[in-house]
Amino acid sequence: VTDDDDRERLGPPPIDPLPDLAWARVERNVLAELDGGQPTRVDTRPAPTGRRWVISVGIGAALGAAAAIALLVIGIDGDDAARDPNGAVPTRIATGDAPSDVGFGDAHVVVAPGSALVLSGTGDSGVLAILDRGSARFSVAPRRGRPPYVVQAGAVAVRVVGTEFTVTRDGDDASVAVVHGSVEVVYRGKREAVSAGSTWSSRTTIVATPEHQPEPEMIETPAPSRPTRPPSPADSITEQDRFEAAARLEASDPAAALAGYRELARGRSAWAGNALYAVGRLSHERGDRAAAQRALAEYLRRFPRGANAADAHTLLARIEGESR
Amino acid sequence: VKPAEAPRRQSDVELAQRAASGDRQAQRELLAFQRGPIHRTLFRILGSNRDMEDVLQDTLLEVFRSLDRFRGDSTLTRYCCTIATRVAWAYLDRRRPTHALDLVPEPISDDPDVHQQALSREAARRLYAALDRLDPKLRIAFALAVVDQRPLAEVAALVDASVVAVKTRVWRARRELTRRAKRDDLLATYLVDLAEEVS
Repeated sequence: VTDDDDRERLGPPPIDPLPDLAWARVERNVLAELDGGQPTRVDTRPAPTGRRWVISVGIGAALGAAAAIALLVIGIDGDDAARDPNGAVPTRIATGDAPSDVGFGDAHVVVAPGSALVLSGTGDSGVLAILDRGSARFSVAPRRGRPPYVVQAGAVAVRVVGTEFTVTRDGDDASVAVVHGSVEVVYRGKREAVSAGSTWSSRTTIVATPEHQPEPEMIETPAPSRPTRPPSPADSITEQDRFEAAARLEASDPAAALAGYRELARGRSAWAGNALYAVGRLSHERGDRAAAQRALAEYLRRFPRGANAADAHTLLARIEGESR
Repeated sequence: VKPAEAPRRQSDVELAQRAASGDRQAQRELLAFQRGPIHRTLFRILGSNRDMEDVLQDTLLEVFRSLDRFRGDSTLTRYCCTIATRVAWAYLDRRRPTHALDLVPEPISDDPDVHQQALSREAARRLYAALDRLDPKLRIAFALAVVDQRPLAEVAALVDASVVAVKTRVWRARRELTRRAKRDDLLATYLVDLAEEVS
């Protein structure tokens, strides 16, 4: 710091976002408390090994040996205070140069090098795997009668029917390659079944169909819900789900969150308005005043009496004050 | 209630009533809308996310337990932030002074002004270390009015005090901080900058 009058002023410190999993934990505990029950226990115990569907061709013992070195399993923030009251935490797996091999719930996951995956849920209520970056290969038991197993990569949700498949995330995009069985991909409110030998990508949203079709009885398996919340009445990804998915990404991947909000804002529903306001708010928090002003002005034009209109006016005024 | 806000207040009341009655979707909706403003308020008061989960959880439980008393006299956001302020106050009041160091997040590498950000963060860390030694009443008034640059009237509503009382608290906090900054150039500079931001 100098006495130079030309030096740049030190403004208020930025608001450090709370990690999305911390939000999920708070929300879960609050709702559990409201229900008069106990917070959901997160089971991080590895799955039993040796099931016939677990290991596929191409995933050799060498990977498993390498995984013992590369596997990094940490509690969220590495902070005891962040633990659930019962001591369990979601498990984050971040790989370096070697892949990692882990069992979770009744599935086996190989996390590719340079990837990050968060696993939460229980064997009883289901498992949610969030792919932060990179690629992971899942071998999951058929879900007939079993709790749901859902993989989320940005705005793409993969609902497992019973299969072996790989999910790869590249920024806002994700792709799914199915080796055995079938999965159901939910993206932009549309559900698509992807069967063995097929690949799906959010870039094209086209399923490269194989010669054979998925077995109908596997598709008829009840659609699972995310494990940390009750089943959605609509049994599909709603706009609220998409909004919440974007909100959860704000901490870990704000660019992806913005993309999710922008996509949702193209609609005409109340959630579109909320998403558009969120674009303005988040852009402002990231220091992009111009984008924030554009989004907020558009919000006020499209939703002059929207739920966030007063806040949009306030924020716009604040941004104009900051720009002076 | 301003005319333009009337529909919002009405929808706020409806949402609060639905959430208070146990409507899970309404509860989630409320959480989605209010978590940002609540977190912002708490962050400004506490200065970090170190104890945020506990305070957030207490705040949200207080919000849900008192929703049936929400009549739309203010916006739901203001109502929630008032509760957040009260919970933070109680937390600060019972907390022993600590000297734990928070990890400073790594600056974003592609930001054009990483140095400025780092300096700002260090200044903020020193500011909150100094605020730790103040009466929570003074700390909250200063954090909301000066650091977060909220209008005095809004701060007064959040802490349930008069504007004059808030102004006095801010003045007392600033006087105390300035005294402590005599041997800390960065903090002294930061206080001047924050004062200019407000003016």
